Formats: sequence, C-alpha cells, structure tokens
Amino acid sequence: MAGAQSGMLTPGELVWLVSAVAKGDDAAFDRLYAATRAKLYGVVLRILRRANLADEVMQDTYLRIWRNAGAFDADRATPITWMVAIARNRALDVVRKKRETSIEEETSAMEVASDDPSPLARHEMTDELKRLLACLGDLEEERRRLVLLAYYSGWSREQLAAKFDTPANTIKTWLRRSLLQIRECLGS
Amino acid sequence: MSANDDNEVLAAEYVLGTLDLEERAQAQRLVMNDPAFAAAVTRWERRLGELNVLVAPVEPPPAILTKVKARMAGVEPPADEAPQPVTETAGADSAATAAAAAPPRPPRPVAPAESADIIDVTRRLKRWRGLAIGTGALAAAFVGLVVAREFRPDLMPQPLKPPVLERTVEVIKEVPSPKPARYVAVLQREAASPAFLLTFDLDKRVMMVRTVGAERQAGKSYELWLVSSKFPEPRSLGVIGGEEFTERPQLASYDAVTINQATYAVTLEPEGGSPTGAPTSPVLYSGKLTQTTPPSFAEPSP
Repeated sequence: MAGAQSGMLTPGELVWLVSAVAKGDDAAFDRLYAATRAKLYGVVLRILRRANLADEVMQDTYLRIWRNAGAFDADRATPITWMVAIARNRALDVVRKKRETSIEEETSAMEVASDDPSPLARHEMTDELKRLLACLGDLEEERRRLVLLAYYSGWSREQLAAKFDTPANTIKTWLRRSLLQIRECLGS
Repeated sequence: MSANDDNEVLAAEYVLGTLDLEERAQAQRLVMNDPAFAAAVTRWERRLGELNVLVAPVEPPPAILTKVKARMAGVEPPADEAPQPVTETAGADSAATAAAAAPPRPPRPVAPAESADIIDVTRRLKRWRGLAIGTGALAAAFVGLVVAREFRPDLMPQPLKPPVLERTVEVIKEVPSPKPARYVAVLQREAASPAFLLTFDLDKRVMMVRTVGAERQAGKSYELWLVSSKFPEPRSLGVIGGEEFTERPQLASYDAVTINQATYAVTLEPEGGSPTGAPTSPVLYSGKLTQTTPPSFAEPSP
C-alpha cells in the first residue's frame, strides 16, 4: 500500500514535495511523511532507544517540518539531510535532558520492524555519501568508529570516553582533529 | 584561525551530537545570533547527514501521523499512548487521508537472537577490531582503505541493521536470497575517487564487482587480487570484466575469516589477465572490508 501510494521518490520529487508543504499542501505532507517516516524513525530510535520518546520526537519533527518547510533551501541541503538534521537535533535535545537514558539502556525500543524498504532506499548511494565514506576511510580505525558511533548513537563525549576507555579530553582532541580532517578531505 | 577552528569544531560537534546539554544550549544560541555559525552548522548537517542512508528504516507506529495531523490542526490529542485506530466516524476525509498515508501495520516483534548467535557475532566483531592493517609488504604500498559492510544482519535487531548496503547490492544485481551476510568494500586510490565497489555475499561466497570510476584501458585488463597473510602470494580473483558489473564466484574456496581480513587489490594487467598468475604491475587500487557502522551493537555497553 505504501509502495503503491508513494512509489519511488527521487531527491527532486522530495524537493518538490517540501516546497508544496511550504505552501500548506496537506496531501504533499502526507506523501512526504510516507516517504520519509521509516528513515527518520530509524534515526531517532537509534539515539533515543525508547519507543515512547521516539514517538514524541517524531511528532515534534514533522510538526517542525510542516511549519518550517518554507525555510528549506535546496541549495544548501537535500530534503532528507534537512529532515534528518531536524529529527536528530530534537532527539539529541531530548536525550541530553534525560540523563537517565544511559548507554546501558540498549534496546527496549526495538519492537517494530520494517521489511518494506522505504521509497528513499533505492537510490541512496549518492556521490556525496561515497565521498564522505572515502574521507572517513582516511581516518584511523578508532577515530572512524568514534565519529560513527557519535553520529548514529548520539553519544556525548563523556559517554564516548567511557566506551573507548579514554579521557574525555582525549576524545575531544580526537573529535576535533577528525572533524577538521573530514572537512579538509571533503574540500567544502 | 584557531578561533575560527574552534567555532567550526563547535558547529561540527553540535551536528555530530557529542556536546553536553550546556554546550548544546550555547551552540543553539550561536545558531540564532551568529549567521556565520548557523551557516557552518548547515554545512555540517549536509556533510554528515549523508550517513543517514546507513541507518535502517524502522516503520513507526501509525498513531504518530494521526497525532501530528491533530497538532497541525491545532488540536492537541489526549495524552493517550495507546494507538487509536482511525474510525469511520472520525470524518471521512481525514480518515481516508490518514489511512492512505499510513496504512496500519501491525507491530512485528523482532525475534530475539539465539545466544549462540550473539556470541558468534561478538567474536567476529572482535576479530574485526583486531584486524591487523598490514598484510605484508604489498599491503604497505596500498593507499586508500575502506568502506562499508553489512554484518550478519539476520542476527541483529532489526532497527540496528545497516540495510542500505544490502539494497545497494540489490541495485547492483538481483540477489534472490533475502538477507544473507553481505560486505562491501570500496577500492580506491585517492580519497575522492572510489574506483571499484566490491559487494560480498558471504553465505554464497559470491562477490560482485562494480566499476565506479576506473577508466577502461585499451589492451589491458583490470585484475582483482586477494592479499592475505595466510598466503605468501596474492591470489587472483580474476579479471574484472568490461561490463559495469562482474560476478566473481572465486571466493568460494576461501573461508570467512580470510575473506574478512584480506586486502583486495586491483592491478592493470595485459588483456585477459596476468600471464604469470601473479601481479605484474603495481597496485592501482586497494581496500579492505571494514565497518562504517558501529560494531558495538552486539556487545554489552560499558
């Protein structure tokens, strides 16, 4: 049903949908939601690890997308990186405020699964991703893991320090060098 | 310069998500008040945002859309966590819309992995971690490394699987098996120029080679080699065909550990492949299987 309804969405179609949403197009919002909900839910669930928190963040995220679609700038972001940024931002705010959501709390949220690839999935290996992966490949193995773990799990330096059994200051230095190196490698 | 870098790193860490609560608040104030900082954040969101493709999609509960719609309309729904099915009486229009956009999907519990599987995964991950970079003199000459792998996704909790690579494989070739173990490596010389994309189906020991950036050379053939500390010489995995996709069954004779730990290298040989069975030219491209997704999924956290 979802597939028949949304089909395969190209980045261009997503841009079009976001601009329609910016004009208050309710049906476009539904299509945008259908095309992106599983990706965004996967992203926030990884960070929040609890379904009830992820549900709230999803609501906030899509409400913000609905209200701020006019601020989307196709020259500076792709629709999906823009939406993911909104979702991660919200998830990170929530997870930082909930100090009790520790890294021990692994996976109680992992209840619902999708075996239906989201429409986005089919054309995801973008040139940008290839370049980023190549740059990550230039990092030392441990620093690459550090960056990826931070991104996917939303861990703070403190949590990363515990995970890597390394002082937080060292983590900070590693992150700084790695991020500047990534920027230099990407050349933009 | 250093102050610039400080702000740049703050923006990057803000996007990456490593700041604590106070630092996040500070960054958010800067986003509001400092256009240059806000622009830096936007650039980092785009740079790092590409990583989203490696996150497995997870179908959210249908009730979320209903609640979003209610909030869009300015009606806050009751704080009721139980998913409410859309009823006929909810108004034909909104019910139809909601149903079309979010077909109800019953929650599908993920079968817990057998403990033996978990141990297996953990061990394998440890091996990955301990993977020695050097595999002899040839490896020392290799330049670029990397990329992505999908690690026994069938043993992982569904939301943690990095599914995209698997889908990449599906794009490359219709591999019928639903979820075999797959690995991906990118062979490259310089950071920005991946030349070949290798995709492994570990269960079937089949490898797919996709030519990404490598130019065809008249009268020459690219040949793929497996370099492992277990063998004194590189082992040929055959010539990479002129097609964009080449399927290689040669891996069948190697065990999983060897495949995991090997370095894959490409040389430019006389047409049809090396006449001697050993590389006759310097390594042009090389790469290893390594993970871009955190290997900690199956491990206990500290």
